[in-house]
Order: sequence, then structure tokens, then C-alpha cells
Amino acid sequence: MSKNHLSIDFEEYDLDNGLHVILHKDNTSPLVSISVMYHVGSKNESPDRTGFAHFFEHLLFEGSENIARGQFFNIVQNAGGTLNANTSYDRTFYYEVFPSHQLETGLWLESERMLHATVDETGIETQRSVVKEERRQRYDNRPYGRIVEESMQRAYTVHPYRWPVIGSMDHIDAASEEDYRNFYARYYVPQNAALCIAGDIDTDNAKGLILKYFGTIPKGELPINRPEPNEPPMAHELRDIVYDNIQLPAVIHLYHIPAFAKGDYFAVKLLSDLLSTGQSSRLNKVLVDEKRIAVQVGSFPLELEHPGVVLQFAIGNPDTDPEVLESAMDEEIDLILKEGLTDEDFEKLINQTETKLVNEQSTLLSIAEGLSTYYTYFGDTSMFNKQMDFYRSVKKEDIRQAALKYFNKDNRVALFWLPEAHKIEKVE
Amino acid sequence: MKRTITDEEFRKKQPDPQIAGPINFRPDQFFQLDNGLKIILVENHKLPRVNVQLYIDRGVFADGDKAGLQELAGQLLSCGTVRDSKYEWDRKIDYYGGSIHTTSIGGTASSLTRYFKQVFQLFADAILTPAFPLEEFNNLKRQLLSNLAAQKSEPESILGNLIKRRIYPGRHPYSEVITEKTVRNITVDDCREWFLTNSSPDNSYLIFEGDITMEDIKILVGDNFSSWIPRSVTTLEWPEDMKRNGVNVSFVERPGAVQSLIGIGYSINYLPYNADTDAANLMNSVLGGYFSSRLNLNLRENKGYTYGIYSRLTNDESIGSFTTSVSVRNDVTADTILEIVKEMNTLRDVDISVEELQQVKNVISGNFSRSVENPMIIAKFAFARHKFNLPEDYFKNQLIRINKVSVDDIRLMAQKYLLTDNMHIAVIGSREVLNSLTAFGQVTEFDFEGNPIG
Repeated sequence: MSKNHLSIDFEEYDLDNGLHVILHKDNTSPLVSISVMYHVGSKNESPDRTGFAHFFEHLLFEGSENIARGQFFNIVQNAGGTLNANTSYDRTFYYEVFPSHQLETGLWLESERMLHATVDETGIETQRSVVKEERRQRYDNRPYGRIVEESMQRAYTVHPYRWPVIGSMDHIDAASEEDYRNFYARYYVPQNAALCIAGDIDTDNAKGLILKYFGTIPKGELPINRPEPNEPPMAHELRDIVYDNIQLPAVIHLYHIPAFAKGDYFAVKLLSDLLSTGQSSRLNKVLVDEKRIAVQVGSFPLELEHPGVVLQFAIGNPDTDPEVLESAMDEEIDLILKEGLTDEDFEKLINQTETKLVNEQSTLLSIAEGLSTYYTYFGDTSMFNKQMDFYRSVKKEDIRQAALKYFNKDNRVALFWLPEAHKIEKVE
Repeated sequence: MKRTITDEEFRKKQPDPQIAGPINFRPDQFFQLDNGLKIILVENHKLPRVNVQLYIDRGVFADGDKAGLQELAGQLLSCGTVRDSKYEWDRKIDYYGGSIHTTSIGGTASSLTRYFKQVFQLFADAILTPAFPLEEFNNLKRQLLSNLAAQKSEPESILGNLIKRRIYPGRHPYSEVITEKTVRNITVDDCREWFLTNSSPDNSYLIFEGDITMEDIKILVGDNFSSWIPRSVTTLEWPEDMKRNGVNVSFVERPGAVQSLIGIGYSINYLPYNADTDAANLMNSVLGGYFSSRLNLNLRENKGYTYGIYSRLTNDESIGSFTTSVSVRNDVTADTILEIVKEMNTLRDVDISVEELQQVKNVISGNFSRSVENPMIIAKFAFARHKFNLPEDYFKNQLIRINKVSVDDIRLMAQKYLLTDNMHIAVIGSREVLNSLTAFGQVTEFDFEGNPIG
């Protein structure tokens, strides 16, 4: 087969106002995905106004100058579509999937959101309550729900990754309508966004409609705050204990690694897969199947635009000593350092990666998100089609070197995540 | 400059859609092996991968004082085969980048096309020649016991146990709760015996989707599944008696909870693909089946009590159910219950508007049209046609049937399926909310496994 089946066709261009447009035509199904990725996430927030980016994600479904409050959802649903959005440390992503004859409605909705969304006290008040319940349901009231938040606030001392995407409820309460309006005027502007249309389109028709709805949206005039990747390296390991309403003790290791898709990132990703992807992976095989001291293990990089982290964890049995769990995790890394990988290990990692990349192309939406992410972080959409090459260019020895360079104690936060009951025993 | 441009007229209203094209139903193919195994395929050569699902259709079985037996038996299938130890089997699947998941009713397997033959053979080994090794059984049991211990802190698991115990008739399999005690009663022989006795090709389906042809499948299935010998499986009947004891309130304390998890539900006769299916599904959608449903608009968008609430009307060959669950801050627990019951009663008592009905029809039709673009959904439609003897054009006529549902139908469905006089209300939360629950009926306290306390 000469054609690389992992390569997808797309074209891209900028409008005069700076909006980046990506088109991926695929006429196999009468569906179209319309998405906008704004290059704003929690890392753009100021330390006394955390949670803004995520709060906006909620607010921007409230309505616009031409869409009455609450109608955004109804319009999409009445047109047979679906919609949602999500926010990360680095970007906010909005999307609809429609039957393709509703393309224009999708463009109209996203242009309303970009041009003149409603930011008023009624919407702010409602979404304040909703976001507070989201925080309680997803983080505070859920066993292990605060792992990422507690680890990141220790791993970062100056960089904005130190606060959680959902932010502080006090900040959300304290913010005024004007704070919110300013945030909107600063970040929700065409030169800070990538519009991606994927699916059953006629390219010329789509381009004409995009120009009609987005061409006259004015460029933003306020400077965009782009924080520096300024987190200094750790001097030595940071250890702590967190007590939670849980029954099974866990050990969390957070190692500093390069930014998503930069430098050694791909080697680190394969190293992480070697440790925890599939039942035969090192941590699964040894901690769960052989030593039987864990019920669940994991190791995965957070895909961050600035230098990021691998989150590694093992959840024990009720009576597992966390120190035993931690030693077993460390031994697996030592073993990689000592013996490296076999050819079979390496071929397995490449096969698993290829499978994952193929699966990511199974929906229009995940293609759109992939293309938009590479454009947003790197200004280079074509990296989406080079992902398999990036992984193939990693050598076996690079993976061992990555373990040496990044998975060492002085480069990590180590948390023992323990049942509240342990705390009481200690006090007594 | 303020960011108000232009009074461009075209922005003021929603654009008109273009003419909708037809929904594109991919063809499905059917084949039956000599031993009775039924095979369904929907081809899709867009990506170089194949998915398959095995469904062993044998009715529901009770585990009695060995609750958890079927779950363990299903997991044990992937813990070593006559050909391979667990580690060898895992190592091979991972090497091919494939994935296999087994359960008591079959399982799924998928991989890149170029490794599918090998992955499919490993899947067949798991189903037909599982080794049920004692060592692996003990390890699975240990993991299950640890997970049961963890559930003491998981509000969703506690609610799940409570609802099972409270809404299904005693001794019905659906009322069974897996506990430390029942798990300790299970032996590896129980698992082997149960699986082998109750599995047969003539009540099983292999459902394929992806980059493969029926010609290739016939060879693959012939090589791997012909040796499966049919046996007669005794299908058991279970009591249909529902508990109909008025409104009951159950409470499980979760010290320090910052939210109450509320569940409301009951069991009900509601068979798959019955005459009510389309209208009843629309009715539940109005109540709590989509983002702009009455429950979500009321409790999330108007009151801000919750991050979200959905309701489910679940069909089942044995016993169906209605359930809804929601997490809210402690001080609005009782008010939330009141609002849910009010929304259910309103739907029973007051006709919905033609506009709202049309909106929910559009939502359901849109979901349907988007879903048929997934070849696995087409394959599952073909499976449902065979299993439930549906007309050939049943799914092709789905949109027409949805469109015919009337305002009266919705009210009748609400009266038939929303039983506000006979429901169980369960709350998992902080003790401070307990007093406010007595307004709804007699409150009984339970432990995390759903056993009454005191």
C-alpha cells in the first residue's frame, strides 16, 4: 500500500481578521462537524481570577445578540445536531455535529458566539451555581477526584498550571460582570481561534459561507496574555500525604516532562505506554498480576502546551502498605534503566500507537480536534499527519534515556493518597 | 472600538437549511454456521480495522448466595486458555495492538485489519477453551474484594446497590448485590460449571463491523468457532411481581458528603420493541432524556441546583425500570425531590404543547440519523431484527413512527410509565438532610450494601 492510511486530507487559510480556517472534506456520511478552538485556557488567567476560562465555556451557551437566552441548545437540537464544549489548561473547544444540510446553522451559531455573545448578570448568576455543583460532583464529592489538582499545585510553583482548570469558587463569586466582559473581549477574538469544518461539505460553498459569517467579525484589540513556560526545574523530590474519603490507599507520582509533541515527548509517551498500556504492560503485569498489591495502575502524560507532567498512580488493596506500592513502582523504572527494552517491547508499542491513531480517526469530531490542536499549539496543522512518523523516529534506547532523564526522584512529586481512617489512627 | 459591527440582516435569524439528503443505511449481511452460530456483518473499509462483538443470548440467571459468580466467570475467560497462560495471552494481544474484553455474556475484540486474524483466534480461544486457572481466579477475587471495599466511599455504587435491592422483586437476578460474603462463597469450579453449561452457539451472535468481507469471515469463523458444540440451555423465568408499596424513602449516610446523591426509581413491565417504544421514549425524553429536558432546564438552568440530571426508561426482556439520579448541594435535597415528582406529575396531568413535542421529535430523529452513520449501530439493528423478529424495514421506518406520535400519546405514556404513587426515593448523603426527607414517606436507613440498619 503506497498511501499512508493515517494521513488525512485538509486545506487551511486565514481570513483577513486573523481567523484560521481548516477544512477536511469527507463525503462518506451526510454529517458535518463545526468546531472552534480558542487559544485560551486556565493558564491565561490571573492568579486572583482562576476558573474564568472554564466558566466562559458555560457562559457562552447562554445566548447572543440574536439568540435568546437558553435557545442555543434548542436551535442545535431542533436542527438534529448535538453540541458540547470542554476546557483545558491551554485551550477551549466548542463543537456541533449536524446533518450536513445544516452547515449554515452551525456557522451562524459559532459566529454569534464569537461576535456578540450575551455576557450578563442573569447568565453569570445561574452558571455560578451550576459550576459550583460541577466542582462538588466531579472533584470534591468523588473518591480520588482531587488527584490532579493536589498534584499540580505541588508540581508547579510559579507557572499557572498550579491552579485547577475549574478554578476557585471564591474567584468566580468575586468577579464582576465587567471582569467577564473584558475576558470575552480579550480572548474570544478571531485571531485567537481556529475554525474547523470536517465532513460532508462542498468546499467552495463552505468557504463562501465561512466568509459570510466570519469575514466581518472585527479583530480583537486587547493584548492577549500569553504566559511564559517559566517553571524552574525541581531541586529534589517533593513528598506529601493527602487524606480523602476513600478505602484503598494510592500512590501518585507526577514527573516533569517536555511539552506535548515537543522534544522527548514521544519517547516519554511510549515509556508511559510500556508501563501501563495493556494487561502485559510492566506495572499491570507486576503490581496487579504477579505481586497482587494493586487493583489499578496507570501512567499517562497530560497533553500540555508548556512543559508538562506524566501522572503515574497505583491503587492498592485495603491493607497494602503505600511504601511497598511505591517501591514496586520504582523497581519497574529501575528495571527499564538497567535492561532497556526488547525488540518485542518496542514493536508492541508501535503497534499499540498505530491502533490508537487509527481509532482517533474514526469520528469527524476527533479529527477536527486533532487538527485544531496541532494548529493551536504549533501553528502547524500538518503535524497531525506526521504523528506516526514522530513515534517511529523514537529509538529503543531513547525510551531508556527518557526514563533516566525524566523518571527520577528529584524530578517528581510523590503523594500518598490515604483513607481518612488512617489519619485518625495516627492521631490516636 | 466597541465590538459591535454591522447590522447585517442575515445575522438576525437562523439560516434556512439546505434540502436534507437521505439517511444512508449501510447494508448488513447475515450468515449462519452449521452449529447455529449467527453472524452479522456491516462492511466499512474507511479505516484499516475490524471490531467484533459476541453476544450469548441465554436469558438472566440468579447467583443466589454467590452473587458475583457471573461477573468473575466472564472476567476469567481472559485469564488464560488451554493454549496460553494469562501472561502469554495478554502479551500476544498487546503485541498486535489489539484489545479484547470478555464478560459473562460474551465480549468484544478489535484490532488493525492486518492483525485481526490473530486477535480473533485469541478471542475464540477465550470463549471456547478457557482454562479457568485457580491462581488467576484467586487474583480476580482479591481485586473484586478490594473494589467492593472501595465502593463504601463511592456514592454512585451505594445508590446502585440500594436501587437494586429496593426496586426489584426478591430473588430476581436484578435484585442481587455483590458483597464480600457472596464473593467468598464462589469457587473456580462454580465459574467453569456455570459458563460451560450455559453457553451454546445456537443462541449466540457474532456481530462484525469494519474492514473485512463476509468471505473472509466465513473462513475465520469456520476455523475458530465450528468446534463449538450446541447444547441445550435451560432458560429460566423470573417473577414479574413488582414491589408496589406506595412511596418509600431510603437513606444511606455518607459522613462529610458535600452533596446529596438522589435516586428515584421503580421496576416496570416494559419489553424491548413493544408497541409503546417510540412514544414512551419520546415521553421520557421530554422529562429527562436530553439537555433541554424539563428536569434539566428546571434543576440546572433555572435553579442552578445541579451540574445535570437525566432520566432513563429502560426496556428489558425480564423487567424494565424507570430511574433518575442527580447530585445536588445538601440544603436543596428535599426541594429537588419535590421538583422531580412535580415534573413527573405534570407530564401525567397536562398535555404538552405541539411545539415542545416537535422539538423533542427533532432531537430524537437527529440522534437517530447521526447514530446510523456508525456501522456498529447498523450491525446492532440487524441483530435486534433477528433476535426480536422485527420487520425487515423496522429501523428504516423509525423516523416515520416517531413523527406519528401525538400529544395524547405522550400523556398516555406518562400515565402508564411514570408511577409517582409507587416509587422508591433513595438519598446518599450527609445526616443533616435526613429530617427533610420524612415529608415524602417513611424513611428507612440502610448500609452501603443496601441492608436495612437497626
